[in-house]
Amino acid sequence: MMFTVPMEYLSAAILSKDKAAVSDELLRIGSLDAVRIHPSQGMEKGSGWDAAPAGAGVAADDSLPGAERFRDLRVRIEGLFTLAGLPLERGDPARFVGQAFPDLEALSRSVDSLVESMQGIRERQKELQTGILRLEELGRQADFSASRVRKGAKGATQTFSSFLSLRFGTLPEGETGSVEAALASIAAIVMPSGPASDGRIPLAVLGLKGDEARIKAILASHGWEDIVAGADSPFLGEQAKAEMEAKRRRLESDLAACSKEYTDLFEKRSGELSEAWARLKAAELSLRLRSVFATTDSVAFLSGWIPAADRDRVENVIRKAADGRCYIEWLDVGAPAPDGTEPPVAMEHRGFLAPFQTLVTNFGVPGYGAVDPTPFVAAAYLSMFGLMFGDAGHGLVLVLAGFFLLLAARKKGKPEMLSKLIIYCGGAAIAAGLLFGSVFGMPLLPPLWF
Amino acid sequence: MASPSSEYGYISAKLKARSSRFLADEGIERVVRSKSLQEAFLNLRGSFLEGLEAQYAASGDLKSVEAFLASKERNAYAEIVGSLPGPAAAFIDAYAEKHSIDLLKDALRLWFDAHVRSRPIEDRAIYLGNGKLRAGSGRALMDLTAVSHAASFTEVVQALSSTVYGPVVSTALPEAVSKGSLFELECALDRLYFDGLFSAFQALSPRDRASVERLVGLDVDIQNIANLVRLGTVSGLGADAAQKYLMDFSAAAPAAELARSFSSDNVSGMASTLLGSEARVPNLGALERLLRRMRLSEARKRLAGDPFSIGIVMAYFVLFGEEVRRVRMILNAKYFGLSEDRLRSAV
Repeated sequence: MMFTVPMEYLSAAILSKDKAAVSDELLRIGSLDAVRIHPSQGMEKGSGWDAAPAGAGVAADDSLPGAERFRDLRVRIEGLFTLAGLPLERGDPARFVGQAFPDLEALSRSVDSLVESMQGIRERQKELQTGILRLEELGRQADFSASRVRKGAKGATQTFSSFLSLRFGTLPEGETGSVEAALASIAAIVMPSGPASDGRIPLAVLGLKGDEARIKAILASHGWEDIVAGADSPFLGEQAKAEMEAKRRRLESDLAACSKEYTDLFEKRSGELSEAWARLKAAELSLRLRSVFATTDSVAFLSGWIPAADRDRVENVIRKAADGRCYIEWLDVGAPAPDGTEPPVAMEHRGFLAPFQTLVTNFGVPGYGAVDPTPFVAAAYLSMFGLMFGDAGHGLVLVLAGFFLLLAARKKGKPEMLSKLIIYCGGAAIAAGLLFGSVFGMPLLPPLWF
Repeated sequence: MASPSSEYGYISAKLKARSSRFLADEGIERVVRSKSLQEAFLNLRGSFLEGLEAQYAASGDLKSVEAFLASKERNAYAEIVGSLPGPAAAFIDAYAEKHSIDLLKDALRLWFDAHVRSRPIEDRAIYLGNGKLRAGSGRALMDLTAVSHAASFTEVVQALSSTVYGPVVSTALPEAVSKGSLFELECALDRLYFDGLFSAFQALSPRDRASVERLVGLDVDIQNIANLVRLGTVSGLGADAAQKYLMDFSAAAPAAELARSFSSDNVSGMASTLLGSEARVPNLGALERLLRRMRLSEARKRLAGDPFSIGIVMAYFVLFGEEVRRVRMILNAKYFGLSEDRLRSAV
């Protein structure tokens, strides 16, 4: 904990046929910082060596897609969940290491079908939204023409606006509901215009001129009969507004239902997509690791840095996966690699010190073998914060805010480091506040210090 | 008299900070590569257009998103104008007037479709919204719904009588109805716009004039080429007749030379006139795209240049407008399933 993690340099020669098994086992234990091998003197082009090319993820096997394609599909799945505002439960890729690679084409088709379903819901939303906008247009036209309804010929009343259609007529009792349902998708409203008589209800139907043909057809199919309009038919005023508002609310409720359907679509498929994500991640990592081997037809070379504490485990894993058909060489702890590169720097802090490791690495990474400043940073940061903040009440607010943020981050699957840091800082502020006797700026407690 | 740094210091810093949220070419390329319309919205996150995703999620309607984009652009101008000194504010106001004119053109097209071509317009009219906005240097209220839904030509003119567009429309609309084309009326409105812009340009200080002259010149060139593209459907048009539809400006290509090249079908000649050097361009559409790229490049230079002039402000709005235009094009292309290659060549 006081120093960076000691590393050892591994060089391993295995049979090419064991490459997949060895790389999968190394992936499972996750300790290797693999190094790309470059041809050295004597390994010129044409000598049979196939050094790992510069681009990552090039498939050694021509029949396999490259790691980039798996990555692209995985990122696409992540993106779709981000769109839906739902956390993607990222399954553990280690479960799928060593298994057959997922069928990219089949998975792509599955994701495409999800996108089509999403688009289908959006199209329905669009129709509802268009219905709402057309209702608003109807309302604007009705306002415009409110005082201009004239008594006209039987049937459609001539309005001042050439964009409105106002029909007067009667329907058989019991048909009003059916007509309203049939007109639900059209910007048209049905209003009673008088008491029922002889088994028929007098109604007024207000709509846009462009929908007149559809309205006429629907009315005719339900037994509509035209009548002459009354002289003072106030069907462009408050009654129409109320009907339009009611219809608008129904459409908005349907629109909200579409949003729920959108979310449900993801929730139904989240298990399937989570597993697909993990399989794709496993395939991507596996291909990337395989790509760093330098190979001939029969032999493959692997080099990389391993934490010294994992040396035995890694060696056992390689020997087991290669069934003993391997040669392994280790360089001394801390020595640079044969090509002169220095060991990579690893700092492993879990639990309390993890957020402070992020703070340290944001500023810069210490050199290999140097003192790991993380514990000192934690102590100094919390002390300084506590002394500067110095109020138990405000510190409590920070702690509560940090907990809320932590819960929100866990719900959305986002990183938790910042919220944990806020909680720790809040704790430091409470401690300092108790020492100073300050609670929400008031000296409610006896000061123990200063 | 206030110094340029005190007049433009605050607004310059504000706009430079905001411009960091533009997508730029890499961001546009990410949106172009999106596999679907849904995923295109995802790639707008982190940019100044990230609000479009919520708009689309709420309505599922791309046209509503476009209307929202247009209002966002208009509001951006209104917000900035208040922070500028007098002549600069008047210039940006005049520059922003093109949005009001575009809306007026939309309303007139709707009226024309309904009353001359007898086409239904309800599905398009609903996107005019409540249709009222303040337009022109006098900020007169313009009721676009009254224009698009007017029962006759007289009502159209009446709806615009209190605005600066009234006289132009009352003269050009009857001719448009008799010819069955709105092109002349729209050209007249464009000329009105540029006349206002040129006179606001002349009122700027010499330093400010120098900083925006080239951008205004490119705007004029782009408009001239757009008009020539539309004129391309008219065969046998002479140079004098074509020149009627073009505008002249100090930093723009001479209209007479453009008209001469156009009448002799010499696209390369037009390109040479516009670019100042030999250039092989296949058609006018490609030339227009080239001019837009030049305008983008010029705007980026201005944004990185003198921070205490109106050039920063105009550059910001050029980049803003171009980004809105490209994103709108990409979203529509994704909706209609256009191929990436075809989209890339247009963007």
